[in-house]
Order: sequence, then C-alpha cells, then structure tokens
Amino acid sequence: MYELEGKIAFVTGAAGRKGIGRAIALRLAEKGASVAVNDLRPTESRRQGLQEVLSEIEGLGARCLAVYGDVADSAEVERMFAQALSQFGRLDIMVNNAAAPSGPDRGPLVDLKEEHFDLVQRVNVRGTFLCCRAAARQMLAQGDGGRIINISSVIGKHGVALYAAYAASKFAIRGLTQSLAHELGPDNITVNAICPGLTESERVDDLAHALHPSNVATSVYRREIFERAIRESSLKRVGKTSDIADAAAFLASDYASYITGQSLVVDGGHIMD
Amino acid sequence: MYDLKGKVALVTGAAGAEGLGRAIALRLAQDGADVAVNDLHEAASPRSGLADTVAAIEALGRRALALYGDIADARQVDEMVQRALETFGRIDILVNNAGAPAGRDRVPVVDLEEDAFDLVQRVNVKGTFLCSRAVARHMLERGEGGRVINISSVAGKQGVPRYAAYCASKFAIRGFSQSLALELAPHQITVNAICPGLVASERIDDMAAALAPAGIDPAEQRQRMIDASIAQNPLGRMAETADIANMAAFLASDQSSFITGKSYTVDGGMRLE
Repeated sequence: MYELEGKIAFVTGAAGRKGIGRAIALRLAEKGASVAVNDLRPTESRRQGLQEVLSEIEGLGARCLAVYGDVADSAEVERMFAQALSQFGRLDIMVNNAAAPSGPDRGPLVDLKEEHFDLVQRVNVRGTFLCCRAAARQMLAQGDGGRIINISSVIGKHGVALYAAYAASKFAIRGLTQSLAHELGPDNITVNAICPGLTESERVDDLAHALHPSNVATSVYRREIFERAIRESSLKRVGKTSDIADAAAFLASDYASYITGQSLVVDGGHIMD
Repeated sequence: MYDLKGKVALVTGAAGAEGLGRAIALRLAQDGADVAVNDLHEAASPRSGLADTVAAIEALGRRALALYGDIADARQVDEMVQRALETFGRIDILVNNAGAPAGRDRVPVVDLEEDAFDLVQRVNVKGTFLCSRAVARHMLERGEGGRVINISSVAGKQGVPRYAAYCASKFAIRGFSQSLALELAPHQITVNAICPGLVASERIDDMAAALAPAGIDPAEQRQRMIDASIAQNPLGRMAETADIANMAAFLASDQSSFITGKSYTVDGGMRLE
C-alpha cells in the first residue's frame, strides 16, 4: 500500500472536483508520495478546486503543494517546477494530465475554428512537451531514474468523428511519449501513456454540453453518451476516475520498472489490440 | 497507371526537385489529373522550384497551377484554394504533403527549444488541418465525393529518439485523418494517411545536417543513415519517391473507393503490424 513512500510526484490539471487529475493525485498520496498539484489560477467561474485537493491530500497525512499556472507557458512551467523543487527537493513521478476543456472544438472539421483547434494543441501537446522537458531535465540531473505518465485517450488510438482536434492532440501525446521513452530509457526513466475510455468526470458534462443536438437536452444527451459507452464496453460500465488512478499508481510504482513507451488502454475492454 | 483523367488535384509542398510532393504531383499528372501545386515560395530551398514542377506537369500535357503561400495561415489557404477553384473549377484530390524542414527540432526533448517544437506542429499539423478544412468544404458543397491523402510517416506509428516534435506531429496527422475519415465517409470522401519509411529525397540532407554528431561531416552522416537503413530493410533498399507516389495514386483512384481512415506504411517491410 505504501510503495511510493518518499517519492515526490507532480500532477497537472488536478483541480476538477470529479476529475482524473485529482483522483491520481490522491491515489499517489495514499500510497505514500508527496504531491505537487497544478491547475490554472482560480477565477470566479473556476472555483477553488485545487485548495480542496490540497486539504484532502494533507488529510491523508501526505505532504502537498498547490502550484498555479499555465502548463503551455514555459516561463510558468519553469516557475512551477522551481516552487515544487524548493518545497520537496526532488521529483520522481510526473503526471501530465492537464488538458483543454472540451468545448467548441468538438464539431465537424469543416466548421472548426482555428482558435479552437489551436487551444487544444496548445494545452494538450505543448503543455505535455514543456512539462516533460522540465521533468526530464530534473530527473536526469538527479540520476536515479523516474516515471513520466502522460494522459492520452482511446481517441489517441482511434479517431472519432467530431473530435479531429482532440484526436490529433491525443495521438501526438502518444508519439511524444514513445520518442521520449527511447531517449530516457538508458537513464532508467520510464515514459508511458494511459488511454482512458469514457470516464465519469465533469468532462462528460462539458462534452454533453458541447455535442448535444439542439433538439436533445444536455442531460438526456449525457445519459445517451453513458449508455452507448456501457453498451460498447466488455465490462458493461463506464470508467471511474479511480480506474485511471489505479493504472497511474501502477505505472508510477516499482512494479512497472520494465514497462516503457507503452499506451495502456483503460476502457473496460472496448478497444482491444 | 490509374485513370485520373478529368480529376483535379492539389498537392502541398511540391517545390523540392527530388521531393515527395513533386513526385506525387507528377505521378497524378501522368495518370491524367490537372494539378495545382503549392509551396511556401519559389526559393523554399536552394534546390527547389515550383515553376519547375509546373513545367514538368505541363510537359505531360496536363494543366498546372503554382500556388505560393503558407499552409498554416488560414487566409492564405483559403485564397489558394479559391484560386485553384477559379482555374480548374473543382478539386477532387487533396494531398497534404508539406512538412517543416528537419532542423533544430531533431534533438533530445531536454534540449528541444520551444520555437523549434512549435514550427513543426504549425506546419505539419495546423497546415494539414487548414488545407483539409478548406478543401473538404468545397468537396461537401460539390457533393461528388473526393480524396484526401495526408503524408504521415513511420515515425507517426512508432516513436524515435530525437524526433519527439516530429513524432508528435506525425501521430497527430494520423489521429486527425481517422476523425476526418469518419466525418466525411457519408459523403463518399475518403481520407487516408501514407506512412513512408526513409525516402531517398533531399530531406535526408537536412536530416543528416541536423543529426550529425560534432566532428562528423554531414555527408558522412548521410551515408551512414542510408547504409543503416538499407542494411535493416527486408527489401534491401530505401524508398524512392516513386514508391510513395504509387501509393498516393492508388489512394487517389477509383480503385480505392472502399478504403478510408487507414494509415498505409510504405517502408520495404521494416515495420510489420
């Protein structure tokens, strides 16, 4: 249970109340890690989620630090890593979970606006690159290995209609993961991706909001999304954030020391390859 | 040979004298298509010339049009597509071939500069998005189907060290192709990707210059890369641009009408799936 005792983790995009980032941060803390959690600075519309994660993690008796900033801005990434390092002294586990919210990018490509396409690439791809770069530099300097875990998606393995910007970004994350795994393997740093299927988080609300047809209420469409995912999964349920956190904790642990460059699908057995 | 008589193609990145884009444009012209060819500007590289590509197409008895412009700039893309439509009245085949030149992006992630990363994503991913959007809108409006062919890479299927930016972009192109294929399938527009292995083109010179270790002459590095590639290749040679052009012509033809969303590897059997 405490196999991550003494390890330091950094998890991006951890403020969502029902989000994957939060579930991963909590699970790593449960297993003994100290955790730096990141998200964008709170605004009126985006409330104090990160502070809640912080108190929950501290409630588990683990150390935690909230670092606010934009993962796609290199100056902010440098600052956030400096903060985390001055607090914890080292970094063992990097989880790149932050992603652009689903919004107007979910639609037919012929209607897709440049700025919406750009936002998705910026947060998902550039953000993952910058945080990987900062984490890898630190881990190489430490010289005793490490773990980098990037959150892709089943849509990073198979494209889906109305998701061209998202699919491009989640495929890109898998490519970057594989290249980096080759580069960092000799230094005992593993780099893997997790590809969740539909997972019950607030993202599904955003998705339903972005995609529901005008004659179907958001709540009805949300239920339809769930019903379809349940039909398609072998295990007949949608993913829970804890399912993804379990996979992340495994990849972060010593049990996964011979696994690198992989994309682990966690979707209840829909995609099989 | 395929029968592309009466078809109109648009091929991006077609100025390189020994490049993939020119080989594809000429092959489509040989098979009967009129071809609009694009590149950044006439002197995109010392060896290049869009005017030469146009002359070679016209020498085959086909109509050709040179379109100079930046495929990652939406306004320029829309103008170029408009000019092609004014000249030829239709576009049946889009080949998204333009890619950022190999350069400072071919380094380990920990040394990868932001601007080098951004340039690769901008040309390869955003450029493919903007050209696909503009041409798909036209194809939908015309309602007679069409072909979109995106040039990915074997590095779009498998990560390679020092290629993180490139791999991210070439994976992204495959994800994008799959999503778009599903969106356009009801309209009989197919969308496929081609994943070439190492091709004997001027790109190898750029790659060798970018990858040569200190003290190694780029020409020697180039020869090493070619030798290594041939030694590992089941068919015992590198890809010629004609090999890729053959696949593009097939995917552009009526003979491939039931093929969509696919990524076909053309690499002499190096990578088996």
